[in-house]
Amino acid sequence: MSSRYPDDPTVGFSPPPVEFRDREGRPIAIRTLEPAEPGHGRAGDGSADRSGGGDGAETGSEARAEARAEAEVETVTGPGAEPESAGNAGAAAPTGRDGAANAARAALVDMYDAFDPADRAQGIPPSGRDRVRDWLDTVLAPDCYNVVAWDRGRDPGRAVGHATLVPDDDAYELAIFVLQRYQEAGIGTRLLRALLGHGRASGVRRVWLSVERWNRAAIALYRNIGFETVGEGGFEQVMTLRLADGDENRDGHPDQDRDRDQNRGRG
Amino acid sequence: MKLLLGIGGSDDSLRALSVTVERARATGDELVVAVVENPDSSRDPDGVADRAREAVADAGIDASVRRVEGDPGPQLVEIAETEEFDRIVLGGGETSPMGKINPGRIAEFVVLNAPVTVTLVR
Repeated sequence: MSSRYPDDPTVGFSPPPVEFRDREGRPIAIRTLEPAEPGHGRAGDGSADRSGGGDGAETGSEARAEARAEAEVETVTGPGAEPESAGNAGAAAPTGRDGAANAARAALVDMYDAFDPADRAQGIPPSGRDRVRDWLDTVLAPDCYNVVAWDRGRDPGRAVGHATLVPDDDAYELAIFVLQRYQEAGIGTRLLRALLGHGRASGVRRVWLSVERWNRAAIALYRNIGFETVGEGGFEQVMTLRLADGDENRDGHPDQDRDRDQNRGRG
Repeated sequence: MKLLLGIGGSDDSLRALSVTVERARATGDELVVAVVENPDSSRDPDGVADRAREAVADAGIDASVRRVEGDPGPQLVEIAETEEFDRIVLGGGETSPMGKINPGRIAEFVVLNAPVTVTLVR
């Protein structure tokens, strides 16, 4: 994607972890989603789904079994403690990072399966668990960056938002998704900022996105974050953002800091 | 049925070419392939026209291939209307790394303005 990127970087993004209460008072946590080790692919995700994907009663259980495993992985356990899910649903005992990654992936499948079809934009997210899994293979690949918003008020934690950066030549394409019930609660802004913080810390500098031209709320959200519109006409609006290198990522530009220092000397 | 296929050389338009040629072979529909200038495509229109002629020949159908100058969307709509085509067929748009569909300027104009059925091949 060849686009004009802003001359000045946008600064001040911090990576996860982030904890806050959304406008509805729900406790939300934003976490980086680390990819599973290559070669393990969807093993953890698939093993819990042997009963088939079409049964509505099963849709939550995949994530519940995996998420219990995730909770075990995240808490400090005493010596000799076994993950609770070891004997559940025939799932293999998850280990460390892969267990957490696969649990998060399963929770995302559940989230997208619960998505309102009307929230599809430019073709994504797809509908149907198998198509969602195939699409997640693309955006959860090891060369992508992902953050997930969890509702900590739910037991186990429920994934309610997801933001991703997917490589595109020397830039990254960004997309964000928030479950309908959790929209307009301030989660989108937090997710974006956390993702951009994570991306910047990982070396991402140029970010672009496309949004439907009539989606004023989304365009306002992106503009507030620092994205600028490029191009003209058409159903699709492209917006771009530049992230800062090293020292630039303090509040304000290097030039402003210099002026402040000079003024301080004048008393 | 008289089909007007508009292609500019983008990946989705080349896919529309193979799908439409095959369908014309199966149905016996009359097909005209219009090679337009797509500024978003890196492929040269003459090369695209050659590919179209090859596809038509390989399928053994009697379809004509022509170059269309000027603004692609408006030209396709005008040709469809004045030459009484039944349907305009186009590629369905490019897909971003994320999987997002962008229909493209040509399809947008044609969908909004054509007086005939429009098919986007995806």
